[in-house]
Amino acid sequence: MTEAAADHDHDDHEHDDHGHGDHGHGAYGPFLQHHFDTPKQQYDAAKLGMWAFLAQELLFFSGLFVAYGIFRSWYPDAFGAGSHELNRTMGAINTCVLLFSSLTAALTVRANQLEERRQASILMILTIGCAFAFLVVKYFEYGHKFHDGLLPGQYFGTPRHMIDHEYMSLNPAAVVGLAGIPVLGIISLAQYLRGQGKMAGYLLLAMLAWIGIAFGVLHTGHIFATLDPHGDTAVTAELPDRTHIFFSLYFVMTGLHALHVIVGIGIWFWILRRNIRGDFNKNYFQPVDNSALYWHLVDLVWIYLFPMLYLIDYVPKGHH
Amino acid sequence: MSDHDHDHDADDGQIHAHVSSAKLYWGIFFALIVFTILTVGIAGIHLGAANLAVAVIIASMKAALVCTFFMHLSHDNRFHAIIVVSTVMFIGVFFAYTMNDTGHRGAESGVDPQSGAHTYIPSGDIAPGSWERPAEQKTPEKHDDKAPEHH
Repeated sequence: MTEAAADHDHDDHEHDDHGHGDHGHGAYGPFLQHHFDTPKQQYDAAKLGMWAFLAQELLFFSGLFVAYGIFRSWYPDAFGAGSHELNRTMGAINTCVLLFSSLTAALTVRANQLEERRQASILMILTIGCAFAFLVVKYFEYGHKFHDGLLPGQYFGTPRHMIDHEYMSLNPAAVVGLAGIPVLGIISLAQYLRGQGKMAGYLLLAMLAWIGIAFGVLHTGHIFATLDPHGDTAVTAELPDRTHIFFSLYFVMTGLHALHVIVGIGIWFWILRRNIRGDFNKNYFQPVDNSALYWHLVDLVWIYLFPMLYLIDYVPKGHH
Repeated sequence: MSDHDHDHDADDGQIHAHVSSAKLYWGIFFALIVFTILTVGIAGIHLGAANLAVAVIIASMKAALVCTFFMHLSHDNRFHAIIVVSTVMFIGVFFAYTMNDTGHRGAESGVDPQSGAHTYIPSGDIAPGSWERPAEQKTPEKHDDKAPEHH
């Protein structure tokens, strides 16, 4: 086998000399790029690039961790009290969910190395399921913080009834915006029934994007543009000064992390589709490998976020 | 070069990345869960300033397990491990210099007794980037008022 492959490699180079480099590549499947000689070279290059990207990700997150370090050293009481308001159980559950998804991601790569396509698909679906479970828990956590007025920066202490009031008062522009959603949905369905599957798919995607934008604009822009800052709720009135800084960092750090989880879901769906299509084999699995590396990084960031945000030791003043 | 396990056939152009056993991955997963339980348990003990240090040490042990086994650094091209280690070192430099700066900012300038802001000694002007002193636990008034009610 080794010799045969080496001979083949040799042939390949001869072809290269004549400017027909692609001929020899066929034996390795359609995914060996013409500028690489062998699958191994392509794999090593892709992996090196991935690690450079991961290093960048670590440095990018480190800026937030340094901000955390500075503010925690300045305002230890505010951080203790803020951390005390977070739900440890939910944080711990999410930690376990992400660790499990890291396991399934690692096993996915292994399954692809062994060309166990079916097993790999199941593991990818498990990873996606864990990612969604993580976001659902996060959604309930954020909802609870919003309810208690534990909002970032100057919006800290805004009572919930004000948020509800602002959210419910839909203006005419918002109504027109929302009306576009069912219209797109109906056209998409009509296209599907006419046998225009691809067109229906694009319209469905457009509808989803429309929902996202409409929801985002209403839910955040509208709230943050009209709220009266510097209020107090029953919960925030009890907290030390500058606890809002803790919650600014909490929302930015966990929010950016959640954004990575959402991107990860998209990546895994793409990889799952390619796996079902049969793109991968033992000489071509670097998209799976690199996606798993990305997913492990998302897990790594959470490994630090969980104890640093949720588990700060705190004895409230007057409770000793 | 990258797969020293397979030096004998390293040059056939095929990928010979190490395939770890599923058992190893499950073992690492359970170790990570044990560390998670440990870090939650220790957070219940009042360690004061050591709280953050212990949390970071346990998190780093978990991170090392993920990097070494899940991310295959144990059997990977050494250069990838060098990338990770040097990244961590640069993060350390980032932390050390910034914390050293912010921890002592304005220490040699004057302090305005009214606002707690740092000032230039010669002119008395407020120094750029000056911040109110968090030290001496200048607890907020509203908190002081309410403190007795907690008893």
